Amino acid sequence: METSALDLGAHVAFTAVQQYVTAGVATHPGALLVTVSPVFGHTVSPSGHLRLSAIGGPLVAVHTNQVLSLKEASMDLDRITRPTQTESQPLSFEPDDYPLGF
Amino acid sequence: MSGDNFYRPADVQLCQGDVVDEVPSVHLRPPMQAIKPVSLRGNRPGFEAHPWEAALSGKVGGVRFDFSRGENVSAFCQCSRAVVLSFDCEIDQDRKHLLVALIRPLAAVQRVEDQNTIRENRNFGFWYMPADERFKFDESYLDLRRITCLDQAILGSTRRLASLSHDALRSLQRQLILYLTRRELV
Repeated sequence: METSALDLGAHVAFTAVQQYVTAGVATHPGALLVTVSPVFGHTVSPSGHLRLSAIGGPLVAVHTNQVLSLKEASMDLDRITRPTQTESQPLSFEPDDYPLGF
Repeated sequence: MSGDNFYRPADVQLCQGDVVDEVPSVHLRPPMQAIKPVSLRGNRPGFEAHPWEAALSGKVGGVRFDFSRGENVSAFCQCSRAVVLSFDCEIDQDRKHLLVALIRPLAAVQRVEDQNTIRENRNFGFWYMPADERFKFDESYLDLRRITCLDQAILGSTRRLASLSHDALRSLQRQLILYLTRRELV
């Protein structure tokens, strides 16, 4: 486990999800229980929105109003805590150089 | 998503996702000039242009500029179709600030590879808009780099051609987030 604040937060959240899932998704589907840590605060809305917060402000929110497997939950948490940048495909021309002509 | 479920008839009120015709799109390009209204011979109204750098200093040729309060500048402008980006509540509550993005015809794109890049939304600066015979739309694409802020009064005489469907609007929001952040909505 790396020791950066973000990774530590992901680890804490993941651990909490793991505890919750083993505690029983069936009785309360879609709700994620996340412990408060020095890195992340959290809120869970009645509609099932989980909001993880870094110190100083909200970081990201994710909709969890569905039954999540441990794998799905861990993948979602990994995605939202370490989102991957996506590449934009360049064009070979500059659209500004062409008339609009509708 | 095909054209059949991409557009819908426009509502009575202006909405986010409306496709509007004859909308000005401005782009500040160098060399910029600051302009002041003047009276020409015969009391005809006109404008006097001054170099941007000189006007920024506050005074040029005896003419004062105060850019903290606001001045007029020359701007490159094209008139074309556009999509309204502002959220519905913003449109209702703030009539002076409406965000619109320029629509371009896909037929002007010559290389098939570029056309496909745009059709598949793989360049995040653009968003593909399919053809639709109902509204007489050819294939086109939205230029998310060319967003203009308008007073709604400017749209007074323009025509609203259609509106985006719910799914199309979601797709546009996703592309806008990708363009600004390179990250997917969660």
